[in-house]
Amino acid sequence: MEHQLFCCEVDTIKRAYHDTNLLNDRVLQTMLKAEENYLPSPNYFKCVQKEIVPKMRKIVATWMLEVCEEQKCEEEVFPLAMNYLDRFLSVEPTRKTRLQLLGATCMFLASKMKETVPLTAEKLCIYTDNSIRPSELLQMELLALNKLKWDLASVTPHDFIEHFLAKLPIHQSSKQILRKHAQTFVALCATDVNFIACPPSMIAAGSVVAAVQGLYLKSSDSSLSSQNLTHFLSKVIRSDPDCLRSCQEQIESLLESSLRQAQQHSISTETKRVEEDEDLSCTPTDVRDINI
Amino acid sequence: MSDVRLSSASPTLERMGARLSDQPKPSACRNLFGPVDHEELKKDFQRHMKATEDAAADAWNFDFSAHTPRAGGRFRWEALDISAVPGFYSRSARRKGSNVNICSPGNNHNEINVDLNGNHDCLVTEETAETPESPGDQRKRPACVDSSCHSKRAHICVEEVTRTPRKPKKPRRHPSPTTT
Repeated sequence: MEHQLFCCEVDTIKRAYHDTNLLNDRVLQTMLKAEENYLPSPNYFKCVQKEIVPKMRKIVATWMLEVCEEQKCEEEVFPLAMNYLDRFLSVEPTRKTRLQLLGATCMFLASKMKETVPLTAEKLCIYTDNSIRPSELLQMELLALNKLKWDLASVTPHDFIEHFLAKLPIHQSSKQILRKHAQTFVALCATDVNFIACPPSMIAAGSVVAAVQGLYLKSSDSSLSSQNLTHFLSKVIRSDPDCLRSCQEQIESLLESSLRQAQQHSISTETKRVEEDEDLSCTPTDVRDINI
Repeated sequence: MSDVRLSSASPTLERMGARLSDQPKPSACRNLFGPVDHEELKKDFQRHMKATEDAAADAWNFDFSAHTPRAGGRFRWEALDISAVPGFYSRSARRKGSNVNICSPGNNHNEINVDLNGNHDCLVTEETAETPESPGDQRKRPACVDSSCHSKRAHICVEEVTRTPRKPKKPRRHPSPTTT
């Protein structure tokens, strides 16, 4: 008789269960208070930077998102890295040629903060087409840490999404897709300069409202109507409903323009898109995967 | 032991294995803004490190490059015998075992000296915030020696080991891992 040994261990990422005890109002209030400490300066392009312009932030952000997606990073890594990047650029004038180094460094840090198996310096350097060296990345890491005052526990929109979802009268099955869409909106916002000064709670709320609208989610009562939902969430984040509405609209128009760009892009690089679609088939981390 | 724990916070070569399947696609590997001037970058890093060290020296009135206390600050530094401090300060001292602890081994690096795994431990100067007056605390503390320490903790510990302790009077704070 032949005996076979099965090895059931696989290289899966171990995650802790969501602790529902943390989804309470006390935590939410603390986060609302804490998020203000991690806001970048809204106009650092004008006040701090000499070489770096908004367009370059978009370029580096797009690249970072691509790397995060390809490496299947946790969803929070990209927005967190962008928060580090913006906070760094808020205080430190940076050369254009070092912006990618900074972007890689921020991913390096964010990945270490959020992932059980973080990105390696070597891999990140490969993604820069080896234009930077691992040793430089590590020195940049130290510099970034100093400039960020070693405070990496930024509050991100992701932290709020769970809280909001817990408050909505939505069936568990819809929650998953709603979460995915909201997370995609959050990532999209992180690539856009207009949201730099926007508090994470606002981005999260706007993303959730936009996702609910986009998915045509309905509830038995009218609590999920755009108006009621906006009103409700604006209360939760202690903000003005009009503010939240304009944030939501901004997100929707950003999505629209991204989709348009993506379409143009896909015509020019048809073959490349096919590859990308295969990769993204299960997780709509890319706006192109959202059907509205 | 402490080596293992330290590395859990930063990607080591061994840990790359779990991501090996996701090799970078050529399309995403690109240089966005032109070539980096490595020499200039190196100089700038050195300048920043110098500034950081100066700030630390001012904050602690301690010259970390010369390992000597400076006069006229808020701290009074005194040398302690190694036997007078808890064992974990000396247990994993890698460089050399000196009896007088004021010149803590492994700290005389002005250069940025970080290994490829992101471990900064070879140049870390650690002060514990509870007892800033005690020079015995200077020895690099192996982050979480005891086995009860989970990797999450180890993660935090490494990040706490800062070169530039900023707020000496602040009680040791364990940053919550992440705001969830």
